Amino acid sequence: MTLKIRHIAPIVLAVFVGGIGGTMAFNLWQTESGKIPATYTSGEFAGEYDPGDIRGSYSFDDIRSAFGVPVADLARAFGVESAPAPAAFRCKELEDMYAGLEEGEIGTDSVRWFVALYRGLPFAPEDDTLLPNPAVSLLEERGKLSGEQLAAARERSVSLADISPAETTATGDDHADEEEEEIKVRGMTTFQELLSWGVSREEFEELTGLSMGPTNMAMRDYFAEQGVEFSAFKDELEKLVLSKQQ
Amino acid sequence: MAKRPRVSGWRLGLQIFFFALIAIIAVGHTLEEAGGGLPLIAAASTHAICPFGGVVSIYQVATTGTYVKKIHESSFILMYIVFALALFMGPVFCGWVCPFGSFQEWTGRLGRKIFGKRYNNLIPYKVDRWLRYLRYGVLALVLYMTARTGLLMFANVDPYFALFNFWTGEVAITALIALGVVFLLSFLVERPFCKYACPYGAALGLFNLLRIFKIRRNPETCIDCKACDRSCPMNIPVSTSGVVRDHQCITCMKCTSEQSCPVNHTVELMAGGFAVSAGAGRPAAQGEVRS
Repeated sequence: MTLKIRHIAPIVLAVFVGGIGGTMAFNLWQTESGKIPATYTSGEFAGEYDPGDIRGSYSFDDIRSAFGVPVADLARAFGVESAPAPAAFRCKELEDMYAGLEEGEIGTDSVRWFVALYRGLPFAPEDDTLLPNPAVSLLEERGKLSGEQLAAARERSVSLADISPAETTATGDDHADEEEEEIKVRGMTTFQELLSWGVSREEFEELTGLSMGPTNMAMRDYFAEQGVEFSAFKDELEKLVLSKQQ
Repeated sequence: MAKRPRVSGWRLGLQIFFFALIAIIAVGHTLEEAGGGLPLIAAASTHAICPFGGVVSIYQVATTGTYVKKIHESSFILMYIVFALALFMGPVFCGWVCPFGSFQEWTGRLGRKIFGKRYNNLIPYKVDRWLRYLRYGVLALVLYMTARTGLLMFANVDPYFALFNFWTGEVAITALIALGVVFLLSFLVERPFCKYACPYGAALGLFNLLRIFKIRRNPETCIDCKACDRSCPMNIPVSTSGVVRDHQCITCMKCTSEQSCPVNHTVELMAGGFAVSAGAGRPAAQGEVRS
């Protein structure tokens, strides 16, 4: 049996169209994540969605859907009320919007923190994570914060009026960044960094009860994959790293 | 002897279709990220519609049940579709569908005009045939790194991703450099990335050993003119093969009696062997329409 050139193109097209169309018909064709965050696997909040698993690709509407935080509140908190479609606003866009902040970063982790405070869920933000002032005011208005939480949030809040991409790139305090680099364990810290700071695989296992993940993997991702909250071990890991530096 | 069309309209049409489709989807994805989008066009990312994403995710799916980041069900479905086609008639994906293969092929047409007969014949065959196995090293490395990290490590050097995303700011500089190198090499060598570095081409190339429909040459009617060898973009010595099992064959059909071979029914894509038939071995008459 021989196949000619004129047979091949229709066969290829038919297989692609049939394969994709067939899987679409059975709802198997997915080109993006389901936007369903991981849940806490243990403790008081077991089974609830974990704001620590909010990704940069999540829109405000995805967050509303998973955590019940109204889009209007998210838009007000993060200063995007005037955006054409706040519901479609993605968390990762905040990083570009507020790029250049010297004190830290307003980005996806800020949204995680805000949602956790809003819903009263446990979450430890990165050390350089900031909240816009309106976010703190909104949480305060709604009575979502304890005194301690309010103090912590105020300490790391930034006035949106002071922020514009053009003027936050330089403040004149150019020597501030030249201070000795401080080693801190963050969610984005990889196992390779941890190893380079002198923490052995055995020590990590002893502390967390987990074997170390792939060297290039961020710890927050690895802990989430294992169903464990990264913040539960963050401080202990940082202490271990500091002990190695002394 | 009749002159054959050097370019198959069917193949070129399909290549243009898939190239345009991927380009439109990539642009649609960018617009969708910016809050817009193109009507009727799915705004999937380039990763989500790349069948190689399925291949690199196999280990993670098998061990943890999760996908590598940025890879979704669609990549796996496309992987199965392309594997099914490859089992049927070889790496037809490479020769007829892959937009990056088409990009290199079209760039190479300029190279052929510039360098004439030296184009695609610069590297001695004895050296070149071993260099062709480099892509298996790339495949092994990509599979290993992806399994270890759970991340799409190849995207950082992937010229295909760079070609369809260079305007997004998401492309690593190393991938842009790889794209530039492949573009320049395409003026000298036909499909340089496919030949020496493509890990997906390496995986699909293995199907040349198993495929049902194979490129076969009938030695009884072959007049040993070597037109098939000269026409092969992958430099496969078809004229010395009874059945082409070379891992580099991309089923482009350029060597067949429909395109280059001047003798009817002598180089064909077929299942089973040749049967003696009337007209076999007869050189095609001028202007004869072949069926």
